[in-house]
Amino acid sequence: MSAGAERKKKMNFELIDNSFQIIILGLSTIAALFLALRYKSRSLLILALAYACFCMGTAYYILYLVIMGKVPQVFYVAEISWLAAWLFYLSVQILRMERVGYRFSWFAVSAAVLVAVVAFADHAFGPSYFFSALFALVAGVNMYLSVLGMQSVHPYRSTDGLMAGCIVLQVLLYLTSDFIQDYTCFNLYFAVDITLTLSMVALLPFTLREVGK
Amino acid sequence: MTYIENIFLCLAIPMILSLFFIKGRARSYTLFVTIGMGICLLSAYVNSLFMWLYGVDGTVAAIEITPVCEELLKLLPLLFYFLIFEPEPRELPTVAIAIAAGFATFENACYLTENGAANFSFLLIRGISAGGLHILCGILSGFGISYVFRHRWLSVTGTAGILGACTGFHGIYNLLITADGGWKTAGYLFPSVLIICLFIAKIVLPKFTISLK
Repeated sequence: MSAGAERKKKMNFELIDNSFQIIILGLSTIAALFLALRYKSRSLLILALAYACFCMGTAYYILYLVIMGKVPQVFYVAEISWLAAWLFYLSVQILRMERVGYRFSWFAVSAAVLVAVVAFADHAFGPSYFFSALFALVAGVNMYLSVLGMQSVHPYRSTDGLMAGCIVLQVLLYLTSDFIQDYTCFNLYFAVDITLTLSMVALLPFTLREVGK
Repeated sequence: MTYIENIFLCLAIPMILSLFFIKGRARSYTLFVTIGMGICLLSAYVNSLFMWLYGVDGTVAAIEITPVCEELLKLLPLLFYFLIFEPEPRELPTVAIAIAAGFATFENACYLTENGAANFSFLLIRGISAGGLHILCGILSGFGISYVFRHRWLSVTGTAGILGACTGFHGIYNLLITADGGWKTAGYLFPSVLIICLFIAKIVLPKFTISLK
């Protein structure tokens, strides 16, 4: 087998997984944008931006891999785009929590600190301390707001639970990647990634239910 | 060697002189177009600095360094205007588009000096795609900051998110146009297609507003 064919086979499942993510999140972006126009909703518009950013990050990463044959080495454009998606998810949570109201919770703080510390210690966003710290901060604050939402008395706590699940899955994805060397075939890493993609997509009907009411 | 400072002087001086004789919106537009050109010049210096710092060639710089530096520098005058002069929300998109147009114009002028102006059809496609890309980023920044995220903490997460979104979008464009064959064609086509879609949406939905609920 030639070196090119060998490399193609090795990248096989990573390509399938990333293509799946790009297609699903691309379609979700269009759906969220359409629904944002239909319901004139800011939450849905921000959710569309989050999907678009995640989709663009994955598209950049996979295109770089296909065109250049390696992963980005200098500035992490894909990571910046993924971070932007998490900033938009955080924006959605800020918007939701402004209706519910802020308060202090030790349990929410503990969950936020745990997520932030694990994300930073694992260098989730590449070797750059700056991006890892930024992601840890965004994930931590988002976790705090999500747990606070779950503890509050309002009818849409399941959305907060789903958002918290997405954050845990994102951190778990980076933790899993530390133990996986072979990306040729289906493994735990891809199972977590596909679950994360589907969980992010599930935020759309949950947000829509809230907006519809 | 391209003497971009000289090109900047030739393009900017007539515009700066015109500022003394025009008033109102035309004056603001001309000023921000000139600022956009200045930002393009500045980003060339910043890109060169990072290229030297990381020891990378022009292709890697165009794919990984340029999108980050250019989008960050383009956002700075917009944020300065937004935070210091506190304009009406409807004024900000025009300012963002003017900065983007100035940036794209100066970038194209430098490209023409370096590569010649003989190939009409290629330059037409490049003009539309590069102009389309910068103007799309300008529209996203302008509308995003003034309408969607103009609200306390949301403005912080939203502005950072928009910067990431523009970086990802710009990164994909630069990555595609530096590749060969079909990738290059796709790279030149997608900003043009998106700006046409946006223009059609603007005509079809003239009275559309986001209720910000």
